[in-house]
Amino acid sequence: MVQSIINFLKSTGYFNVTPQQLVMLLIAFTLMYLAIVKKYEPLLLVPISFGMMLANIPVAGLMEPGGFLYWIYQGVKLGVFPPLIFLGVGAMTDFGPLIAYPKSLLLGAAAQLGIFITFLGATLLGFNVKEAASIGIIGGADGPTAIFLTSKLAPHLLGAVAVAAYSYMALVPVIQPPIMRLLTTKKERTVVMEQLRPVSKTEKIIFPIIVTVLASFLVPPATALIGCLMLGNLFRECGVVDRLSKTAQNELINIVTIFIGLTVGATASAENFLRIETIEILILGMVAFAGGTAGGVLFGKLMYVLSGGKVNPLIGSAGVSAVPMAARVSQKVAQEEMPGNFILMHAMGPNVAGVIGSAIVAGVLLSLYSG
Amino acid sequence: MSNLTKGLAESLKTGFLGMGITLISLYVLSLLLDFMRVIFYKPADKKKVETLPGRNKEEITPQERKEEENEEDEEELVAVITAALSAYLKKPVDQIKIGFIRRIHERTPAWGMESRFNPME
Repeated sequence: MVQSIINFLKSTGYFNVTPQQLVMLLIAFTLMYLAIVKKYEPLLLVPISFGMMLANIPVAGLMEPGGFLYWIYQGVKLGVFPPLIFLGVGAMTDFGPLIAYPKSLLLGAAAQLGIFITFLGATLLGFNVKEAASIGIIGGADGPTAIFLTSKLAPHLLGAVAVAAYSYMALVPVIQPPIMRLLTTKKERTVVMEQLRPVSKTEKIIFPIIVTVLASFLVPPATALIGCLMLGNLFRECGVVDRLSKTAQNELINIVTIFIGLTVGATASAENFLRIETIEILILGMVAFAGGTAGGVLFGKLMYVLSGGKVNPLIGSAGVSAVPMAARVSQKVAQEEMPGNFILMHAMGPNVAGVIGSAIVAGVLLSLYSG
Repeated sequence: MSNLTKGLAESLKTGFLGMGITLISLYVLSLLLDFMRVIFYKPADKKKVETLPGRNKEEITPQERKEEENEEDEEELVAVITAALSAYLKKPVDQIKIGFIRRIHERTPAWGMESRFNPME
């Protein structure tokens, strides 16, 4: 009897827990606090932090082969979940502002600069090229793209990269405004942009088809991401599959968000996460965001000059995806300078262009380094 | 060549290639969108509306009369919305001008609605 009790006690988590696992539990609780109390990207950080907690419960082995989360994690590992998230994102996105002002695509491209600045920083810090690419993609400010690329190039960094990407996305309203003010003059910030033209339904239907063909031919490894994004958008715009559109933007994306958040959080085991590299990734992630914001704003300044002062450079910072938060930050900063100035819809153009841009960059990085 | 130099060279190569491909591909896409606008976008013909000749009241068809009634209904709607806004914003009615009314729920994406209901402070 006594021996049975001893054996039972030895099989409990209380007996087997390591100090590292306790630290990880503390980190998970902190993230839960940030998500629930501070409302930092709660839709993602609640499942991520809970997954982190589950993965660090001793003996349970949920992420070991055969464990409950192990099977769900296959959806991340095999690159299935991120494109499904993109399907929902596409169904929720109105590309109208981008179609009305196509030059905003260039801002979405310029804001990817942070990815390559960070790639350089990570390489100089001693990360190999695959790890550097995975860390750099944080600058795309696009969670599914970051998870998609990291799961293929450096799966051991998935937890740290996802936590950094989603944490910084939640901090966009804090990180971006100082950079935007630093790089622009008051005159530039008060530019009132012309109203966007209306976009016809035909244009909105043809757009996802053109983007899919053009981008997928160029970077085939990004076809799953771009194809699903544009399929979701076609559901939305074609007007004949409302049921599919609603499912993609509600039930499907919610279910996949639970799975992806939970399992990505669960990759943050003590041995993977409690390393000096994690701190480096968090710092590099910040550089990536700042670099992307600066790239977008600087290109916005160039467009301001070339257009004879018709483009407000503040819309450039929205090129770092993080839809729609980054566009709302552009609007907020512009309105602080001039309360009657509404650039939200103009900023939505580069904002959704950033999603396409970061998916193309992911495709380029996969083409270069996935072999 | 040292590891540092190798890393630097690799990063610069990736940077130029990555940014170059992204910029060029999105630029090509922007040109295609411009081309699409030329083909599919027809700006509203204001001239046509302005040059419609005036007609007597007797010539107004039942369909047009119905439209007039709808306009009256819309005036009532504007009055109701103005009153509601006045109460909500605590502003006198004469300081509020309704430019246009548009139904937003059916086409606005979920995050667009979120942005309207919970504007960033």
